[in-house]
Amino acid sequence: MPTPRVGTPVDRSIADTRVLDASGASVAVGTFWANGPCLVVLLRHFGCVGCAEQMTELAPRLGDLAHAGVRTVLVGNGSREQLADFIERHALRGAPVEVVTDPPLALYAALELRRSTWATIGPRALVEIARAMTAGHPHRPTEGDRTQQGGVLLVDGRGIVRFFHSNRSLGDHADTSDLVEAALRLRIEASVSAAVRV
Amino acid sequence: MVVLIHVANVLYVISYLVKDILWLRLLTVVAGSVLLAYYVLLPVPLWAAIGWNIIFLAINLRQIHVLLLERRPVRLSPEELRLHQLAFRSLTQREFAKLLRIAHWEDVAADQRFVTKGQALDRIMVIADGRARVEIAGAPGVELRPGCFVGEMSYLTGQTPNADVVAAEKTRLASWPQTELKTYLGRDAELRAIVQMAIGEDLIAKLGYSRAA
Repeated sequence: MPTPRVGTPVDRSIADTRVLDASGASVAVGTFWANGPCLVVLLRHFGCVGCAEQMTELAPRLGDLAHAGVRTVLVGNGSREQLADFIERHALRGAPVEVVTDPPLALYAALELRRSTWATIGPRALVEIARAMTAGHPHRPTEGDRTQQGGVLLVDGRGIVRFFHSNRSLGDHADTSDLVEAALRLRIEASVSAAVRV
Repeated sequence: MVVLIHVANVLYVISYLVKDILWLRLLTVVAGSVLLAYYVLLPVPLWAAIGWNIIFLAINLRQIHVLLLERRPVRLSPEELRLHQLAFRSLTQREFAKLLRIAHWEDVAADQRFVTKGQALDRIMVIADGRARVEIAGAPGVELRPGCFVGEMSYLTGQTPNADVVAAEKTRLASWPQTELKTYLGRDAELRAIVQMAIGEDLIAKLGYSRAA
């Protein structure tokens, strides 16, 4: 399974991977971008302190992503109960975002995201944990896989990869402004008025 | 003389109790100075401790200077205030003042073309006063009013404009060189996010308007 490359179509093996939605129904990942661009944000796990930090940056920008016509899907790897807790904890009910879970880590594996103890408790990760905790994010028990790392995949409505980031460590994640900028670029391209570009 | 140690340490205790970093540093400077006096007045001065305390004092005084500069009230001219209200309301006046440091002001005469189709655009602009129109063959013109961004699509995509923009009347613009703005915002994630929101809102409104037209 090849790592997604920007500008190339999403590999079939990725699109066919199935995850569980909040109701427990199995959903093929490819359906996320069947009707338009989709940003898939893979979290380390629902309780991860680095992911809490990422959510603090991402949550206020979900509206911007939605206005740019991008569907946002968060993927964790814990249980459905942990998924429900995550939604409550981050006040995501009613926000323009869906949260799904992938306990077998099938999508993580398909995207070749790192799974490493070093990335979780190595020096870089320890500094990132300290950074997140001093920013007010509490440390929580593991709610999913302990050593799995996250990433981000932005796919346009034609199934082309437009942005991909594989997190190097626990607190590493794609810059939210880079994601919104990529979404705005897609919006410009997709617009009927793309003929007018100044 | 031992009283100096007690005075210094009481000041340190108070400094640990305050939450404001400026007061913490001020109290630390006073405490450090008292301690410094103690070391100097000893029959045999403690030069190592004196040296270190001078370094601490210098660092704290420098940081106090920076904090005082950051806390100075922001003063925007009426024109800058108007631009803030028109296009950058989400920014605090202090954040906006930072952005203005790299801004240039341009005056464009009526009917003057200031964006040319097919020519690379090296800046992003906001109309501060006046009106402009986007001109493209075979498409209805879009009017740009004060507060509208110009060149934001080129800024985001890196592509050349495929339409002209002409001043419909005498127009005043605030402009930012693209490269300089990107570098500047790259150093401040929060400011970048807020500026991006302002650009995004304008862009989405503009695209929606164009689509409706």
